[in-house]
This record gives sequence, structure tokens and C-alpha cells, in this order.
Amino acid sequence: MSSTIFWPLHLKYEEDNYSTEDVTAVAIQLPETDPVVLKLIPTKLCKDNELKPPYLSVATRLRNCKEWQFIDVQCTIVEFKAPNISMLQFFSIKPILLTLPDRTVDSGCAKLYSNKNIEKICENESLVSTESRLQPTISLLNIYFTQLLAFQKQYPTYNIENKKGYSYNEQNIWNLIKSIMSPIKNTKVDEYMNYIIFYITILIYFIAEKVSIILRWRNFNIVTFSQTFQQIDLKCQQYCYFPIQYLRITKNIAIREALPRVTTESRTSDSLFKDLPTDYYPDYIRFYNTIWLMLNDISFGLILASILYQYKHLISNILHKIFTFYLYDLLKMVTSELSRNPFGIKLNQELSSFLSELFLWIIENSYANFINVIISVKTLEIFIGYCAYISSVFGATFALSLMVDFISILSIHIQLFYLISRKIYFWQYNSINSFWYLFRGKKNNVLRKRIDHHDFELDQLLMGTLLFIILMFLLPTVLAFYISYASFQLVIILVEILIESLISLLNHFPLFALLLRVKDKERIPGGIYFEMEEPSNVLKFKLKSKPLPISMMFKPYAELMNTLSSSYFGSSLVKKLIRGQTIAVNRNKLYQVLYSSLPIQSMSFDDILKKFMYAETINMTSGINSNNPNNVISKNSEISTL
Amino acid sequence: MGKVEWKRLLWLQQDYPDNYTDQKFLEKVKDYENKKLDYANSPYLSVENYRVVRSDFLNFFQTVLNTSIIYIIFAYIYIYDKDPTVVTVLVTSVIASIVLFKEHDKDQLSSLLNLKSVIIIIFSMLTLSPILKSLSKTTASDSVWTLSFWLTLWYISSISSSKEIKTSNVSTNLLVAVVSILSSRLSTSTHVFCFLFLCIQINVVLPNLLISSTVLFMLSNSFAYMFITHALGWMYTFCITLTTLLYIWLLPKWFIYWQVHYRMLDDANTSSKEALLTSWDAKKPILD
Repeated sequence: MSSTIFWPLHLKYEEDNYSTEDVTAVAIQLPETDPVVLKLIPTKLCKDNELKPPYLSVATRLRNCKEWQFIDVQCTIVEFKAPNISMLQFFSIKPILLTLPDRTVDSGCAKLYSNKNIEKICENESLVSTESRLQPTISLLNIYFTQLLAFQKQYPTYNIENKKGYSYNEQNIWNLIKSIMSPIKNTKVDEYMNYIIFYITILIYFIAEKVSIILRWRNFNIVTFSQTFQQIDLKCQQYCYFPIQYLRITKNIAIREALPRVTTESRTSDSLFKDLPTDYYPDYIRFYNTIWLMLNDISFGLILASILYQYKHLISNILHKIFTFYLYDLLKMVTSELSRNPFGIKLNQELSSFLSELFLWIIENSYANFINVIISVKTLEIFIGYCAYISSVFGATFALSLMVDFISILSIHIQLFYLISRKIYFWQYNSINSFWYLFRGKKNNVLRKRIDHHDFELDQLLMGTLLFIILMFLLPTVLAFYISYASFQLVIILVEILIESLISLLNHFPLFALLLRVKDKERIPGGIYFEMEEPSNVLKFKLKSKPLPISMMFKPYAELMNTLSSSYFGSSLVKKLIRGQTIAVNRNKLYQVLYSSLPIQSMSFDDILKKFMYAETINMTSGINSNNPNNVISKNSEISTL
Repeated sequence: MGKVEWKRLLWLQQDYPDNYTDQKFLEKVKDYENKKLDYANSPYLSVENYRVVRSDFLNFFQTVLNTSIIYIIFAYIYIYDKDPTVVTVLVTSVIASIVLFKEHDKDQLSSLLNLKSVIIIIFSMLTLSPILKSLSKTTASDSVWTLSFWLTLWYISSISSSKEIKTSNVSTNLLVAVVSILSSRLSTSTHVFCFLFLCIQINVVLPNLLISSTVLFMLSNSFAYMFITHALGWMYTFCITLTTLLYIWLLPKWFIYWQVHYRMLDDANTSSKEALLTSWDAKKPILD
């Protein structure tokens, strides 16, 4: 069987340094992987010291010769650009998940293949490779540089000066902070500060968790009613998840630093592959995405606040006109028109005048008692002022949520009308249904879930038919009221959905992932592909990383849009209206799909406390070593030699 | 030679000419010619058959007549603007006496249950009549007439199609529907109630009480003719009477003539040898 050799691209440039001497390419090969070339070594160095597994030499090149002589002549070469893991670059066979695994939705994955035939080919078992070497090999590629370091540690004799110098370049803001803080490191001040930060974090976590629990109280789930409370709940959940996320990220980094220890012992390669970037990296993206969005939210909030404050009078005047027209004038006009045979449709006079009188009474009362007060220009100005304050302090999402709640409170009488007419219609629709069965001499068998023939008594027949006829004649009247108020309600729901979509965009936009894609495509891998190269004496491929498609990043949004369009713009809306089912927004259910970066069940307080304590102890021990990266490696290699 | 026997199946490719006539068929026709059907002694000519046919015809006639009584009562209240209370009381008392007279042999419990349902019906009608009155106030009369006409047609067809229980529910319902739709045109609640009550008694209760009563038949007939004479004049009465007589006397005879001369040829009642058509033309399709 021909083997595949993975050859990092930077070694190609290194080749030129050895043009005057014989060179051997040394590779690492773990039990389940293909050989990955680590280093080029002059052959004369290599001869006296035989390599021990997992290291082996795969190819040699004679001096002044361009071509490599491979030990396995039929091998295939796959060239790759070694991912710099400190820059968070890596390869991944499957697209990384931006959502939490327990939140992932199935659909959308299959759409990766645009062609149905290709999809079918991919599903065919005989064509799908059962060879599992690729996954471990890719994992090995991802830790290429750590492997290299380990190799150099084990065979120091091969160390010749590396001119290119592929070392970690740790020039990020944390290192800067570390260097500033280094004078007070391991002093009492540091310890006290640690304690203070620790307890503040715990306190915030505690408060956030309790608030979230109270808001989602099973008997009165206020989150489903109010957008503002949902927003508070979302923020609380995010605060609750921060420490866990942070722990997960840092813990994995710690493990990554300790990797060289494992690589030398090939038998532990299993455990090695578990802690690869693919697992913790999405957490990193999610964590920073959330933080970015929060900052964004506040900056947007400032903009919104300034606009609101500047045009306070104009906005409140316009809103006053709109609200007065929609919530009072139009509503009153439609209601009174319904009692006077609208559009020549002959409604039942008694019923329609009764209903319209009832509704008009409610309209007048609610207008006189609270709507009139709330939508006066002065109150609106005060409200907009408060919105501006809140927006500048807590972010634009809070101001928008307040507006949504404001609208739903203002339209409470429309909601009431809708509820009343819907109930009447629903009741009538269902009775007509069952009376229609009775009319045909049938009845609904609940036990067997079917329509059975039934011999009714004479009195049942008479009563049923009389009621059926009456209900049939009254149906148009009820329907007219129901449809009018349902359309009123629908307009309000659409406005609310519009604002809520904006809020959800501000809350869950995959900003960080998008920016990463723009900045460095290899940091968000969405799979790999092989590119064929000009054939020389061996078959050559180039391994390339495919960036995560944008459609995958917006998958939760696509889901949300699908749900929205199917429940508010399609035939299902008509169906719901006809059946008299409720068309209200179920916020909790609707936007749940966007909570994809939050766990369904938050961790309990005790658990998190334990985790914190554990993390604290680990930090204490690893903190000493983390000053000097060489320390870790030397310590680990000591362990490995034991 | 082993020629395959001819089969009377069109879709088979057979080794026979298109105009092939089977020998058996010819033999049968000859037989038939020789034998001659005994028309004079046909089972259809029996008195029994005649009675069955005539009672079927009469039943249908009775149904139509009863249905027409709905319209007569409606016209009595709506067009002639008479107070139906007296008629209602009269009819109700007659029916009640019939019930009491017939009921004495039944056990106490069932009569009590009947009494309960009667009370329920009466009170529900009393309650619903004001609502019924207002139902079609804003609807044009023409649409109400059209609706009631089609419903009546449906009702008559549902009654005459079969005596199965399945349709009895539907026919009663249709009747009530027609009555309630018509009643929604009336002006006062009392009228609505009386109309409903009368129609239900005459069309639902009476036919169930007296299954085939000549008294009832004569009564309703004379009632209908009296109304026709009153409303349309003697000429119409004469024409309608003539049509009725033709229907009652002539149509059953004609039907029996058809039975004897045409139906007997391939009737299952006659012995299979005599049934010429059935032996060659299957009543049910044969799917090979």
C-alpha cells in the first residue's frame, strides 16, 4: 500500500540551506496517523544516531540534487502550511460549530452540497472512506510546532540554528498586562486582588443566576410576556456563562502548553486528540463574540440615546399622532362601522350592535383612563428621555426592549379585543364542526379517534340542528369582528417582531466569527480540501483549509427567519386564523434558537464554586511556571524521561 | 383439433372472427323462443306485489304532502298573517291524546323519559325562538326562499332514497333546518315557536306515531286541497287532483307492467335457464 506523507511548506524554503549536503527528512508517525515530516537533518548527523519510533526518516536527498528519494517509492505527498496554533490557526475536517452542541439544529448541514447527485454519492457507503487515518493525522498537523519542539528536545544533537525562527510570538495584550503587573506578582497585593476579583465574580454570578431563576419562575414565567425581562434574563444567563467559558478556554490552553509531554509517549496519543482546538476553540469564539456584542450594544446605545435625546420633541409628536390614530380613531371607526353593515355585508343586527357597543365602551374607557394619558406628548417625551438614559447605560437592546413592552402595554385593549373575538370564534367554529357531524348523523369517536355513525335521539337531533342553523347564521358576524381585530393585532405583532428582530440581531450577531473570517481565514476552518499539484516523480497534493461558510454562521438566523415566515407570513397563518388558534408571539420559544451560545441548563451555584476553587488551585501552581515557556517544556520533558 | 374455447371477454386476443356468435347462445335463444315466457302467471302480477308497490308510491306521496304542509303553515302565518296559536293548541292536544291513548301499554319509565325530552325540546325552542327571529333579518327574502327550496329537495330525496337508519337522522335534521330557516322570516317569537312546534309535530312526531293511517292520509290531503283551493282557485285543485290520481293509480300499474315484461327476462327470481340476459351479460363486471 502506498503511504501518504505530509510535508510542511516552510521546509521547502529550508531546503535551500542544505543544497550542498545530503539531507534526510525526519517525520513523526503515531500508530493511527500518516507520517508528518518534522525537520530536515543533514544525513551525516543522522547516521550515528538511529531514530526511535515514533520518529523515522521518510526521504533523503543527495547533495546538488533537486529531487527527493523517498523510502516508499509509491508514496503520495501532501503539502500543507503548518498551522500556527498560537495564532489560533488549525485544520478541521468538519466545520467548527459556533453553536453549542446541545443547541445544534440538524437542518442546514446537508445543504453543504448544492448538488443533489453529489449528496447521494456522498451518502453511498461504498464510496465513503472508512479509513480513519485522516482525522488523527489532521490532529497531529494541528500541533505541528509543539511536536517539533518536543523532537528538538529529545534529540538535541540535531539542533542546528533555525534561521527562519518559527517560534511563538506572544505579543498580545495579556502579555503586556502581565509584564506591567509582574512587579507585584506573587506579593500580598496580588493575592488580595485575586481574592477581591474572585469574590466579585462569584457575587455577580450568584446574583445573575438568582435573577434568571426568578424571571423564569415556572408558575409565572415573565420572560414570555415581556421583552425587557427577556433581555435581562439573557444578560444574566450570559454573565452566568462567562466564568464557565473562561475556565474552559484557559484550561484548554494549559493543557495545550503541556502537550509535548504526551507526544513523546506514543501510547497516550488517544488522550492527545481529545483536547484539540476544535473542541475548545468555538468556546473562545463564542466568549469573545458575546463580549464584543455587549460593547457594540453599548456603543449603539450611545448613538441611539443621542438621536432620541436630540429629536425628542419630533419623535414624541409623530408617535402621538400614530398612536392616537391607530389605537383610538381607527379602532373606533372600524368597530362602529361593523355594526352598520360594512361593505354591504349583512351581519346579524342584534349581535353586531351588541358586540360593537361592548367594544366601543372598552375603547372609550381605556382611552379616557390610560391611553390618553400615556400617549400625550409630554408623557411620550419623558418616556423617550428615560429610553435614552437606559440606552446609554445598558445598551440599545434595553431601550428597544422597553419600546416593545411599551407598545404591548399600549395595545392591551386590542389584545383584549382579539382575545375576546378569538374565543367566541373558536368556540363557535368548534361547535359548528361537531354540530355538522350531528347534522350528518355522525359523531366524533374520541376513543378511537375517528368519525362514527351514531343514532341520535329525537331531542338531540332537534336541539343540535336548531343550534347549528343559528350558529351558521351568526358566523359571518362573529367572523367580521374576529378578522378585524386579528388584523389589528397582526399589525402590532409585526411591529414588535421587527423591533425584536433588531434586538436579536444586536444580541446574537456572529460579529466575531465574521471578523475572524475577514482577518484570517485559517482561524475559522470549515473543512479541508486537497488541490492537485504539477506531478513530479511523486503524486503531490496541497492541503488547504476551507473557511467556514457564512451561511453556517447565520444558521440560527436562517432558522429564526424560517420559523417567522412560516408562522407569520404563510398559509399556516391563514390556517391558524381560520381555526381560531392564537397568533401571539411566543418569545421564549421563538428566540430560543438564537440562544445557541448559551447552555440550556446553567450550572448550579455549588458546582461553579467548586470549579472556581479548583481553577484557583491550578492557577496557583501553574502561575509560577507560566512566566517562562521554556520552563514548562523542560519540566514536562523531565517527566517524560522518567 | 384443440381450438381454445371462446370466452365472452372483449380484451382477450382470441382465435375467432370479430362477428363470431357462440353456438351456445344461439341454442339458448332457440330454447327461449320455443318455451315462451308465461306472462300471465308472472309472480309480479300477484296481489302482494301490487300492495307493496302501491304502498311505496303512497309513502312517497305522503312525504311530499307532509313537506308541502310546512309551506302551507308558513303561508298561513306569513302571507295571511293569521295567529297560529289556536291551530298549535289544537294539533298539540290531538297528538297528545293519541300519545296518551297509545302509550298506556308501555312501561312507566320510557314515557317519563319521553316526557322529559318533550319538555326539553319545548323549552329550548321557546328560548331559541327570539334568536331565530332575528337571524335572517338582514338577509334578502329571495336567498332564504332559494335556500329553503334546495334544502327541501334534499330532504325529500334523502327520505325517499332508502329506509335505512343512516339517512333518517339526516332527513330529520334537514327538515328542522328548513323549518328553522323559514321561521327566521316570521315577525314575532310566538309565531316562530308555533311554526316550529307545528311542523315538527306534523312531520316528525305524527308519522312515527301513526305509521300508515288512512285517517291521517285523508286529513292531510283534504287540508292541502282546501288550502290550494283557497289560495289558487278550483282550476289548480282540479289539475293537482288529476295528477295525484294519475300518480296513485296509474303509475303503480305501469311499474308492474314494466316489471312483468322487461324485468322478468333477466330476473334472478326466475329459474336460471329462463334468464336469458343475465346468463350472458354479467350484472357485475368480471375482471379476469
